Amino acid sequence: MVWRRKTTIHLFSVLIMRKFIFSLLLFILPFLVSLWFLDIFISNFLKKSDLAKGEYEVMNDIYDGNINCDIAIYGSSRAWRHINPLIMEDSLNQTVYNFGIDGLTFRLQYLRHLELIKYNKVPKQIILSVDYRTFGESSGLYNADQFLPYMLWNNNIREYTSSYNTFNIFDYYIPLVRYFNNRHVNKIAYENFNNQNNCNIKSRNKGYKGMDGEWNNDLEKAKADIGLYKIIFDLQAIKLFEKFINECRELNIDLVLVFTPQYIEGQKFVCNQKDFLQVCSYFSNKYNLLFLNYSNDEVCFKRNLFFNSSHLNTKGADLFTSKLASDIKNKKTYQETDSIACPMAK
Amino acid sequence: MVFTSLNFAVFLLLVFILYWWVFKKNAKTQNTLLLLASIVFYCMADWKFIFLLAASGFINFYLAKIIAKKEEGKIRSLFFYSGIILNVGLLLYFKYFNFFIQSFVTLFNYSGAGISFTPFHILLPLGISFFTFQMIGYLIDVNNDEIEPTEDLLSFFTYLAYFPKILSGPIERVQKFIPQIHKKREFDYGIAVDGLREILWGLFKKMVIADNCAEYTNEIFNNYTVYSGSTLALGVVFFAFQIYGDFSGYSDIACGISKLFNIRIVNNFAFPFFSTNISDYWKKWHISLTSWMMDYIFTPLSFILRKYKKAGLIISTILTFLLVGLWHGANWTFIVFGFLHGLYFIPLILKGSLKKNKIVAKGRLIPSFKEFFGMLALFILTSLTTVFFRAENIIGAIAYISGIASKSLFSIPYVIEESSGVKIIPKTLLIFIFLFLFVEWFGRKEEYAIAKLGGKWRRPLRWIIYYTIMFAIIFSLLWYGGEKQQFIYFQF
Amino acid sequence: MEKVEILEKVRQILITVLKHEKFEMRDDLTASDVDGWDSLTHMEIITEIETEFNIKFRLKELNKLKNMATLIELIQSKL
Repeated sequence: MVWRRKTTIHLFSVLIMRKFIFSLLLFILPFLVSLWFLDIFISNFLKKSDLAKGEYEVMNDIYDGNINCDIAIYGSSRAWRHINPLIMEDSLNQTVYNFGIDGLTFRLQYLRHLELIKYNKVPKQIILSVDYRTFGESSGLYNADQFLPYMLWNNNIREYTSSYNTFNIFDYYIPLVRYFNNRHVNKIAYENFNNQNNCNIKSRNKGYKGMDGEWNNDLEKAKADIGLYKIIFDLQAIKLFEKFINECRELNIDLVLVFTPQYIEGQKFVCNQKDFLQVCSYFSNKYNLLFLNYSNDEVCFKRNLFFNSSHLNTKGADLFTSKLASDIKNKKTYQETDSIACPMAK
Repeated sequence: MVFTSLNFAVFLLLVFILYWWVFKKNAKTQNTLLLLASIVFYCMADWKFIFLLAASGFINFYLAKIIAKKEEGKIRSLFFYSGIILNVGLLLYFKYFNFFIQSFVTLFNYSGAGISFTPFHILLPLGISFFTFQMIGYLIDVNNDEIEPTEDLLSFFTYLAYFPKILSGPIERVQKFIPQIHKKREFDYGIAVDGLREILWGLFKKMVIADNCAEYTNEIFNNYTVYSGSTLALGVVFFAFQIYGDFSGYSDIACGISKLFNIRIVNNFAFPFFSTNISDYWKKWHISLTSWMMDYIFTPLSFILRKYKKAGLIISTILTFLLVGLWHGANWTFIVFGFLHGLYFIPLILKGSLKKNKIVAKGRLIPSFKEFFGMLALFILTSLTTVFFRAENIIGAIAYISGIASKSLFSIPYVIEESSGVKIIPKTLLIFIFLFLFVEWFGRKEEYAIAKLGGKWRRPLRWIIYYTIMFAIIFSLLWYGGEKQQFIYFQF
Repeated sequence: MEKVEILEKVRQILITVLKHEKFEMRDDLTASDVDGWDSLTHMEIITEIETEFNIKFRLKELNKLKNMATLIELIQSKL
């Protein structure tokens, strides 16, 4: 009798608990679905804004699957400010798109590459603008807002951005969470919704945007602050770089490394530039890659072609792009090298 | 882990599932889970002091047993006072050491002594103000033969470390908590749903009311010299709602979580803004602290001073509230805060007895003029004391209050938005506060404002209300929410 | 002293301190049943009782009081 009573009580408890769980799920699911719709709404209008300094345009093109380029340009701001796809197209008679990503290291450039080939045709050639941050790493995720509209349930974005501690795991998997306490972002999305005729303004031209303007004082300020700049090499970044090279080989992508012009005084500010160029040469040699090194090009000595020590202005970019297109056509190299050991192996 | 984080939501879900599915066999297994979960919770907040909490638990547990066994006399008193000194000493060291030394140094320096003092870097164990008070109350009750000491170590530690209350209260009494966990808890559908409802209301208070008020409070208090009297007055209002929303919201969440485990903890707030006198206010604000102070400080003090009649009562009240103030923080501003509240009691004590006024405008929708002005006057008086609570120092607090009492008190208030530098009138927040007060007013007879939804309203209508509250929280987080604010009482 | 006498004296003390008669002197009467009988007036009442009956309470004894019946018993035990 006691056993029967206990079993009855137990069964009753189980039924009550099931009722509770079922009611809770019934209650919470519509709410979660509406959060998802709200997420889509915000993401959709955010993508049409200029919040991320033009990165949304490039990302939209990638995820829309509209890119059908023969030549893809990768790199940082020294890619998207320096290499004009229209001039390249004119000269090389191939479709070109510039995927340069502002302020971020190779890790995030590689992420963009992964998304590109996932949603679009694989390019025949990749021109990778290498610079001092290619083999380095940063502690923070610059311009993190650029990932917001695309990162929900995106494993690639999660894999390559989660180490920066900008986003937590809920941001990647639960709708809307990443927009909480993010008022400025939500305001912009709402403004775009309210003003749909004026949103979706293009600021880039196939990923490129020239910089008009004369020289600024950034270099003088930097020298005053830190004296000399030293490149810190990150082994994980170098490994990833090598992995990328191998993947390009497997996909039959012709990879070209380019060190775009830098104002000569800016180059002197970097105390271990030689090490950096040696790493590039090492990979170029090892994998038989074309490495175009413009560190000593005449452009570097003309301040009027730059708006700061690391970035060409529009005039300088156009001039350089023509030169680059010509050099690629002729496969001219500025660096004659024999086999070189990777400086980082020391 | 703060209660409003997703990390905590996952933690709670896990504990809930384990409690009712895996550890459900008997009271012991349920308590074991609660204790383990509480240890994990405390360690995630502040792992360095888990051993302090454990040591405090062991010492007080065994001391209580010894005290109860001994006959009344010197030995018993020795153990009892040792326990009290230990607990008070712990609090004094961690929380007040630097404050007392600095105050003495300042006092000596007024006479030209010229002593300097570099404060020691003493980390404050989270929840110390709460768990030491619980232990002190426990020892006193055992010593007074009001309760028997707990024989079960597991129950005792579960009570001490219980995660919904360990960091910010309520200050729970052993005799109310432990009997509940001596029995096996059965899942109760109604109570669990009531718990979820209370959690929802607590989240609303914290995330919609308190967090949004905090943004304006910070801006106004940090830049009070540039703002008009009316804006400073608005700042005081916002801060009053910030503390109320923050702390009562937290308490609602703690109560609601406990209901999910079919455990009751004391309700810490009972609509204090609807009080018409200071005595009523303190019976409805931070109830567990007030009742602790009444039982263990005010009653003994007023008993000792009873021959001085009303003067004795006044002294006891002021001393009690000085302690209330000091309990909140190691700064003279908190002492002034407490002192002012003690002063507010004087007219009441001199006047004599009052009608019991548990629920204002009972049975009526609208308060009378007298009741309304009584509530308003009390709100103004108590809110002004919170300036001392918020300010860095007494001079700053006085300067702030002086700023209110100026000609610009009658101008239109505005706040400068930090990001844009534009002057705005925080209309949306004022509307939220008004709606919030409206709901609280209509629910003032209940345990918490939306409790009666469970009894009288049909499911579709209830769910509409719940969804409205949830979307208000979401809207607040997306549009209106600033930076995430830590619970105010978290640092106690 | 008879219980009835004690009850009456206590009743008078309550009327004097609380300034009203809106209560019934029954065994299970507690402070929460009576308007105005709170922590502020409680000590006044206790002091008046001590004076009236010429007794002295101990704090421990007061803490154990549950209702009017236990108060009357305590007074009787001290007489």
